[in-house]
Order: sequence, then C-alpha cells, then structure tokens
Amino acid sequence: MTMSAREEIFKQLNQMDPPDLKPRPPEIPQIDLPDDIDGRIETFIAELTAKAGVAHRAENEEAARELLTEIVAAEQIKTIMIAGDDTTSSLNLKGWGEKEGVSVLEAVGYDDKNDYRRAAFEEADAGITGVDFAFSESGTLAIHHNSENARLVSLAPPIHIAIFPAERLCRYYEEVVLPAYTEQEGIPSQMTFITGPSMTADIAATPTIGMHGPKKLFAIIVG
Amino acid sequence: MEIKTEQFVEIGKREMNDPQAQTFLKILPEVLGVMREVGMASYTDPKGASKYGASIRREAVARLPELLEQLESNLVANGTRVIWARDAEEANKAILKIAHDNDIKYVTKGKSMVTEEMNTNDMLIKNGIEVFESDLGELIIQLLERPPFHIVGPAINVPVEEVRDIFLEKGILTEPTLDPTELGYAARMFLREKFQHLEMGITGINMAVAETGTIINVENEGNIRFTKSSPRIQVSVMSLEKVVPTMKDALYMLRLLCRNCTGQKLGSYITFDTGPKKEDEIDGPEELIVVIVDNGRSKQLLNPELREAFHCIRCGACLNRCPVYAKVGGYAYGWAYSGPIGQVLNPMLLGLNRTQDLYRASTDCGRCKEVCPSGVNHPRIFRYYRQQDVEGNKDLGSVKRPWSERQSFKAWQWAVQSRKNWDRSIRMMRPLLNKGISSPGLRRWVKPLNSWMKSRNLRSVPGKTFHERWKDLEKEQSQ
Ligand code: SF4
Repeated sequence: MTMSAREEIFKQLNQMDPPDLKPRPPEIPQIDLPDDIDGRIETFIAELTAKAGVAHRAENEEAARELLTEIVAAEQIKTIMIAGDDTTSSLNLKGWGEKEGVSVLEAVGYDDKNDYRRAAFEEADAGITGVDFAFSESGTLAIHHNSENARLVSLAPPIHIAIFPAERLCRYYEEVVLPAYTEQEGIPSQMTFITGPSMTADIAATPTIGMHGPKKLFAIIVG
Repeated sequence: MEIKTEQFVEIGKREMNDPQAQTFLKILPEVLGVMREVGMASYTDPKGASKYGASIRREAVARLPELLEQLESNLVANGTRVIWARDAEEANKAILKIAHDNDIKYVTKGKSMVTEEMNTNDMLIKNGIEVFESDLGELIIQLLERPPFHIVGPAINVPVEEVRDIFLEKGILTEPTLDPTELGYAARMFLREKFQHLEMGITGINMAVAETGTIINVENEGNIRFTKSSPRIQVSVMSLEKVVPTMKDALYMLRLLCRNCTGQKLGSYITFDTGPKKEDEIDGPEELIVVIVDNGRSKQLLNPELREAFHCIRCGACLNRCPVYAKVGGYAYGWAYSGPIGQVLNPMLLGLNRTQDLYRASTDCGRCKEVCPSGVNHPRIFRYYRQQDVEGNKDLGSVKRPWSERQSFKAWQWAVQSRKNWDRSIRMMRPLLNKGISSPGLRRWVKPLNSWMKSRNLRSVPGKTFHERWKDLEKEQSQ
C-alpha cells in the first residue's frame, strides 16, 4: 500500500523536534481608544470617513428612516434589497419603502438562488443590512451571515447602507469576536468585516473607490 | 508560469535599462514604505507589536504538526472537506477533479500566491476549464501573461496604455480610455456577470485558525467575497504554514498584516469562513473544500535554519525596503515570490542550483528583517544558502560550486593558515600580479579576476614587501 498524502506529510512533520517554545513577550496594549459612547462614535466616524465611507448618527429609528430617505433621494435609488435581520425588520423598511416610492426586495423572500442572485446583481440599486457589531478601532462593521443576513445584500448592489444601534459599537475586535467564537454552535458560517467601500490601487497605483463590491458605503448609527 | 530564476542578471539588467520601470521603481516602494510607517504609527508600541506578531508566527510553525491536526479536525467538524496534497500536481489534480465532477465550465479566482506557485490556472485551462482571475491586478497580468511584479500589487508597474490596449483586445473595454477608474469599471462589469452565474470559486487563504477551523481572507476589492459567496462550491487553497493557533492570534496578525501591507488599519473586507453555508441560508457555498498543500515544505521544515521562512505572512513590506528590489523590480526574481522573501522562498522551493543569483543579490543591509512583522531574518538565510551551496547540500538542491572556484579557495585556505605559507605565496604572487596588470594574456588566464580587472588599473606593486625591506634595513644598519 502506498501512503496517502496526509500520512506522508505528517510522517515528515512529526520528525520536527518537539517545539522548544520560548514564552511569548508580554502582550502589550495595542491601541489606545476612548471608551465612552460619544468617544466611540466619534472615533468610529473618523476612521470610517478616512476609509471613504460615510457615517451618520441618528437619534432614533424615525431619524434613521429620514436619513435613509435623504440618501435614497441623493443617490437616486429606486430599488433596494434588505436583509431580514433584527435591525432592518424593526425599522419596518417595507412600510417606509411604500411611503417613499422605493421598491423593496427582501433577501429572505427568495427560494430560488438564481432568482435571488439576479435580484441582487441586476435589480437592487442598494442593499440595506443591520450589523452584529461595529468597531471604533478601525471604523469597521461586522456581519454574521445567516438565514436572516445573506452575504450578497451587502456586496452585489452598488451601494451598501448599514444601520445599527449605538450599543453594538465596541472598541476592539476581541471584545465580541472571541466570545462568539468560543462555542461551536455560535460561530456563523461566514463573518465579514467591512471597512469602507470596495477599492483598488492596482492600475498605476491610482487609488480608486468602487471596484467589485459596493462603490459607496453608508453607516447609520442609531442612538 | 515559466520559471526564470536562472535569468536574474539578464532580466534585472533589462529592467534597469527600462526607463519606465525605473521611474516607477523610484517612487512606488518609497510611497508604500511611508504608508506602512503611517499605519504602524497607530500602534502604541509599533516595535513591540511586531515582536509579538513574530512570536505568534514562531509558535505556530514550531507547533505545526499539532496545529494542523487540530485545524483539520475542526474543519471537518464544521462540514468542510479537507484535501491534503504532497505537491502542486496532486493539488491541481484534486481541484480539476472537483471541477469535472461538478460539470464546471469556468471558475473565478481570488488572488492567491500558492496557486501561482502551483501553476493552477494553466492546468485548469489546459483541461478545458476557463479561469478568470478576479483581482484587478491579477486579471491584468493574466491577460498579459506576465509574472507578478509585486506580491501586493501584481500589475502595479504596467502602464495605463498597456492596460487599455489589452482590455480593448480582449473585449473588456469598448471605448478607449486612460482613466484608471474607468478601466477598473470595465473590469468590474466584465467580471460581474461571471460572479452572478458562478458555480465554483477558488481562493487562497491568508490564515487558518486551528482552534475553530476558520479560514480567513483579506482584500480590498470584493472579488474574494464574490468568489466565496456566490457559487455552489468554494475551493480554498493554503500552503501548510498558514495556520495560527487561536482566533485571538488571528486578530492580532490581521492588524499587523493590513498595516504592513498597505498601511491600512484593516483592508476593506475580511471574511472568516467556518464551514459551508447552513441549510437555511440562501447564499454561500454548499460545499467548502480546503486544499492543504505541502509542495516541498515539510522536508525543509525539518531544517531549523530555515524554519523562519515559514513565518512569512506575505505582507510585502520587505520588498518596499529592499535596495535591490528598488533597482531590478519584481520580474528578475523569476517566479511567484519576489523581493527579499522571494530570495528566501524561491531557493528553498526550487533548489539552490536554479536560484544561484537570488541569494547572492543582497547588500546585507538588513532593512528587510527590520520591517518584517513575522520575525524573518532574510540576510541570515541568504548567508546560510551561500554556505550550503558551497558545501553542496543536496537536500537544498545544490550541486556545489565550480571546481576552479573550490580550488582557488583551497589555495587561499592553505595560504592564510600559516605565516610561512603566506609569506611564501606573497613572494610568488607579486611578480605574477605585476605581469598580470600589464599583460592581457595573463589576465585572461586568471579568469575569475578578469572582469574585475577590466575596469580597474592596479598600480604595479614593488618587488619586495614592507617586511622584507625592513629586514634589509636592519641588516644594513647592523653592518
Ligand atoms: S518576509 Fe516578512 S516582511 Fe516580507 S512579506 Fe513575509 S512577513 Fe512580510
């Protein structure tokens, strides 16, 4: 019998000397950040703006919907696709869409993947999602993808609008990612960190906003 | 990709005579270096952060067998299929089989150094499967059939005119333009339709977390997200050193990677996949397959002198600081990896004999190791390669140095080992040296010195050494 690739690779690797582990140097605090809510929001907005995103703060859900109306008008958005997560459902975006004359597609409403993909790629001018967490450290949004927050909603339409309550804004990734990843059942099939719209500098090192993913990213912090 | 590591000098010379490449090289590494500095400055203690990062990578590599087993068992527990491959051919065959079994007509690819190393594209195309590189830079070099110029920006040196022409030729662009944004937009529209109907996507892996069985990709463009979110099948390929022990370590390294790579605090998108999509999810892959490739690494891992080479996280920082890279650019290194890390990896993976000039093209300035967030000491490894090449280390693919070189060093050794030998050889050499200077015939005979002497005129040396004259003087005086 010839050895399988796995066996052969491990046969080699197991000949490595047993690890002689020098203790790691003391872990140093990485980055200093303000912890009060206003400080967190301020840092988040500054960081996301530096990465070509647009961040707004809305006092409450009503104000968030008004901001949405403004964005939709300014960007001439006719059709949006919404994720069906807790934030987007609590905002009653279907009702809002009817009032504002924006047609609203629900990602959760599709059974057929190709229909869903067509809608996300061809029909939606913007995708609206909630987020599970946001981080002031780098102006980052984190989405746990699941049946209520599909992946393409924040990716395929040319504009992504993320709305989230202020209490989901943390400072460091570790604060929430580590607890979420300790229990196997809690781990999402995919988690995405979003820090700004898609971009590239691959041609002549010229920074260009908007490559394959969204060309614009709006974040609305509620509260 | 054709391997051209033996043509280092030739290609390097060509690039040094190419004014366009030179203008670019004068600016690009400098700018990227400054961006990195700015990114690192956001740490309270940038040096300490790099040091800690290096300790994570050192531990990961030291514990590799154990971590890989843990990774595998967690991947499998999450519903991921794991394929082990001894070499590029085996890995490519496995990928091709998945494509054939699923009746795949085309794939999109995320930027991945290891599949460059494996030549996966050519193999798939030869077997009737269309391959679309989806990172803008990778797409451009795929169309132009060029190797990557830089680990991070593979086509960053290509003039806009050339991008326009190749896009027009391939029907990606209809109206000529020199605006990088519009060229990018054309590529977006071209690939968008491919992403929408995608059935199989191939990506690399930046990190794999042993503790949770999670694979991580970092990007700015969104093409990797599409390649992972849209299709039914996702194949992600990693070389076996990409593992990190814990999620905490992964987050630590992500900060370092992005800052060192582009000076960003984070890239636009970082995706963490743990298993395929769940049943009630509308998108994401039904099948997630992770291919773990050895390709000569496990053998070299046994060599403690080389272990550091596996720390590398491919951030590209060492390229931007290298005075050699800044002159010759990325093509001279002749393969997937360029710059100082290319001088470390290419010899290890291709053999010392095929990469002679790579580990010798160094000023030993050490700027590469200074910036490396993973604790790679490149110059030490270059010196080790040189030594092993002299000793003819077969495991590293050395065939020893030429006979004449070995003989002259033997002679040198004999001469410097005793005072008597030294004096005697000096006495012998002096008249010879003087003749050599004046007679081209003799010069040619001392071949290794020939090219050195071509541009130098030595003053002829006196017949007697200082010591001899001193002795003569003493004699004279005592008389
Ligand atoms: S060797 Fe170090 S600096 Fe160079 S690419 Fe690898 S991690 Fe980055």
